[in-house]
Amino acid sequence: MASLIDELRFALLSFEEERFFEAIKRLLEKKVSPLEIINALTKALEEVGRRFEEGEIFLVHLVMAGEMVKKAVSEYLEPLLKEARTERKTLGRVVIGTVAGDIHDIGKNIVAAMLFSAGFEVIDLGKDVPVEEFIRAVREYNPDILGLSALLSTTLPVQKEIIEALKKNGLRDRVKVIVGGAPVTAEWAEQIGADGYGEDAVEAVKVAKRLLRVEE
Amino acid sequence: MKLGLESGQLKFLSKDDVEKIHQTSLRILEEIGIKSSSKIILDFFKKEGAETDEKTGLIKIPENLVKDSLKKAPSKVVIYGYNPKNAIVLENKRIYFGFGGTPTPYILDHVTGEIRRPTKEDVIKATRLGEYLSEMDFIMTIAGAFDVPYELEYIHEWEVLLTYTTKPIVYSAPGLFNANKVIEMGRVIKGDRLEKEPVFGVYVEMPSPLMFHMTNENIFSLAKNNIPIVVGQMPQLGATAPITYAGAVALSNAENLAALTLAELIKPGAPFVLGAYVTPLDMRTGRCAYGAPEFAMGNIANAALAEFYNLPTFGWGGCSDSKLPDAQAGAEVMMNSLVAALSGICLIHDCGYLAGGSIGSLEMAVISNEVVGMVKRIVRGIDVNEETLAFDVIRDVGPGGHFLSHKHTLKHLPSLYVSRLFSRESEVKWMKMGRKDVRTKAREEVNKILSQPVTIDKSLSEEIKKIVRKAEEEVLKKR
Repeated sequence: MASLIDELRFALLSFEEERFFEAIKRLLEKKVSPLEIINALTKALEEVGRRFEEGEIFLVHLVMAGEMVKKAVSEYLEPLLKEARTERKTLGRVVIGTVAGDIHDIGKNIVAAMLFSAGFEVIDLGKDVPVEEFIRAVREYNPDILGLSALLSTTLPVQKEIIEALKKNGLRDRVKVIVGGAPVTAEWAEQIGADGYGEDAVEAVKVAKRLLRVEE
Repeated sequence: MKLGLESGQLKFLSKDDVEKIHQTSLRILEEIGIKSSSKIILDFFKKEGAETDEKTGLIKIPENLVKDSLKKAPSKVVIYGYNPKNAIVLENKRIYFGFGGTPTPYILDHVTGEIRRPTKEDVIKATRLGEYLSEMDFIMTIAGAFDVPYELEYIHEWEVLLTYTTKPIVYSAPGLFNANKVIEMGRVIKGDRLEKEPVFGVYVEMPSPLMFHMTNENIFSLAKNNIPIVVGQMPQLGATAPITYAGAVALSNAENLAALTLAELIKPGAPFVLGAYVTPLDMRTGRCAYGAPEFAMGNIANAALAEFYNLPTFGWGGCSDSKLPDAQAGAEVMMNSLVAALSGICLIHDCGYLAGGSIGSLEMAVISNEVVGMVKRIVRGIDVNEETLAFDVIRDVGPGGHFLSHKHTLKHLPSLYVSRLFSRESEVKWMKMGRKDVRTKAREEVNKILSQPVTIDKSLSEEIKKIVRKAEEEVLKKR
């Protein structure tokens, strides 16, 4: 099956959506195990990430590749895994959202795509997410990491409110909190007691990996 | 009252292009619609005959509603400021430059050189600088009050603006609470005349693509009180708008038309300033690129639309992506200032912004002020008439003479732009004077300006402070 896997990888790295899903379908027809396909996809996404960091490709490629793989996993591969009662191995589970009062979510979306591309399971709560919704999501999904995004100086303090609310609800020790957004600084992250801060999406993935002690 | 230079020489779009963009915007509003997370805005549009969906928050605005509203919006808007001598008349592609923009999360400290969080004191210094700089016709900011309770940031910044500048102000007051407090502050200055002589315009921005947010509810108060609504849409190419420029302009224009329709339905004749333009998302860094050529081009498209609608405009210039006032900053500032001015944008804001609006710099503002002086000179262009052709003067002087001592030269001296900041002296003199680069000279200028005594209207300041204190009580009680 090497050639078909190569075809899949090539389609992803050249961002050809139709060709990519055609390859997925053909691999499944040939009864290649979904786990093997996911492994190949993860490796290909690592290559996408590397090329982005090197400046060979752009943000739009990164997000597009992430979404192609996400769709392949959720619509084609995971249903089969569920049938076979096996599970995809991820680096960890991340719940992410833009805090209450802030509707700027393009940065958060990029970070979510990057985390997913790096092999994390990502649950995206969307934008303008109330403090209580973050608390509820931590209870329900039990994530390894909670990501809080804010763009405005007036919504920045909501990151702090959420961390305080986690403490109040006895959830703070159950989850690592990472914060991001244009006005966020390392000092601010430290001041509000967050576990990590990434100045951009690439950095965010590194921080998430470091927090969960995943080998780079 | 100040009549800005009439401009608009720079045009890319044909009448036909503009008509196509306009038609696409109308179709976007009627067929796709705009989504509102504000119940008040949704209900209002429903009452006015738009097709609304309470579950999704979608508002589909019929074409006739938009077209009727366009007829009601005035083509001339005046923002007065504390001192009516500084009032600016927005019409016919008259250009005015603005100091700064909405608050910045960082400031480049002109004394220590560090990049740090700004405070209310920095907002005061910035405002005093903007008040002083000759080419800055209206005032926003290049700092932010990070040392006050965050719910009250805008209120404190407005207090500073209204206290420390006599020039017209354009600034954010998101949501009804902020807008109402700011209008109350305006009444301290103008009393019942505020509606006729607005001291300020209020910057309004809707999230792209195609959304109304609760913060946009301030349009109700602004329209009712005749406060100019200054829209600054910033959809990003390939991210929150199509990557193709025409589609992105049609989208941001649709957002503008939605806001205009809302304002004119609330109060026919509500002053509205069109700010439909486009920014590139830098595809390597994910940052909004203020120094990009596409960013500057947005002004050209906006000016063409405004001419089509006969409305005043809001745009940008004088800003950079560089983190320091360096060669990159100089190049970008000149490019976007000149393009904005030649397009005929009425309100050209962002002078003194670095790092794509993340860092404010007083030194950069001084340099941008200089650039704007040069730009305005170019916009003034070349007058051709008997006096300027100067045939008689040429005859007087004759072949081999000189014009330096002719009274015609003295009379027309002000038509030359004399640089106050940029180096034109001889290299020998420059070396003797300490080999200073322009940033050093700008810093000295900042220090000189800020060391001058502060003059404020004390009783006015006290009245405004009372409003701030009351707002503080109301907000902190809610906590």
